[in-house]
Amino acid sequence: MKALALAVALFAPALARADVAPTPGAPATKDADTKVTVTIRVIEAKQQGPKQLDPRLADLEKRLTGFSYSQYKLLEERRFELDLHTPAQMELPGARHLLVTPRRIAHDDKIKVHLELTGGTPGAHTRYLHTDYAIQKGATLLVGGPKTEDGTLFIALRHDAK
Amino acid sequence: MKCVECLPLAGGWKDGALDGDAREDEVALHVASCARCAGQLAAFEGVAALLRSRLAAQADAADFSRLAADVLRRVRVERKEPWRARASAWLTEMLRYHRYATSGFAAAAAALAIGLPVLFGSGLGSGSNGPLAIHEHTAANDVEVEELEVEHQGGTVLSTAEGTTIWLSPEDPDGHEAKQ
Repeated sequence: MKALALAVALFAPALARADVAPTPGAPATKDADTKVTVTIRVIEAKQQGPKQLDPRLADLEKRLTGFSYSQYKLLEERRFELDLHTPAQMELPGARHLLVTPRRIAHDDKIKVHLELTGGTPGAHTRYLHTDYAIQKGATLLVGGPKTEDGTLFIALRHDAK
Repeated sequence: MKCVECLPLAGGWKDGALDGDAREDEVALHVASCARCAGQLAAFEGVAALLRSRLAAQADAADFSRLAADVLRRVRVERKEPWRARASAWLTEMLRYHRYATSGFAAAAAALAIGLPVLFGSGLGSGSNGPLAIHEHTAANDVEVEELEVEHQGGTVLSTAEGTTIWLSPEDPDGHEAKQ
């Protein structure tokens, strides 16, 4: 009896953690069944001219107006429904290429995502940003700063899980 | 004074670093009579003015509006030190480095009585009324950047009440940071 109790005490923590850290290469069932929606908005900001915010960016007004630009224009908006580990790809101004891959749904329901931004200067196909982030469902990550011919690029990535 | 002696001193002389120095008059006299040194001095001043204007432009372009929120967010992370560790560090510091200031037992007891609530009050209590509590409502935690690698340019994570932004600072071909 003592041996049984000891075994339970030893293995219980490992069993409890099993759903938090799935074995590499073998995603949990929950992951396999889950689709993630990614909405990508490409925004161009300019410093010249009167203050102007594209009405389709109203939900980002507080975040964008914190930067020192006067005009924000939505260049493109696309919505992707993705299986986990399947990338969304999008061409951006300045010969840039965006790749967003949802990797798994964490135990706290945050979506773990890998993002890569390639191209632009100094040479095409150069990977110059790669990042892993965890994002709450419905939240938006902004990536800003790359230059375009006329201004500065912002990329807004909103994630939802079904 | 020769040019070779004057030139190293000329910049400092112009900035007033030689005020009261015996060489002040010598440098002034030489610069007044030597076209070459006067020209070099003018070039120094031009470069200095250019640097000042460039720094001022960069300072104007920088966005400091989120600075307070970012600092408080970092303070929050650092506050996660266990209370035992904080107590140990505090006591060690008191006993080792402030032993003369707190030589009497009564003084140490008084310091403990005052210090412990300050150290542990906000961490253990539920009130969180101090300034450190502000970050609880100002820094967003809806996005957590776990890994960030940026090549060929600068990159930083700005986390504010409104959300998280990865900011890339492009550089121009000459290696100068571009104006925003």
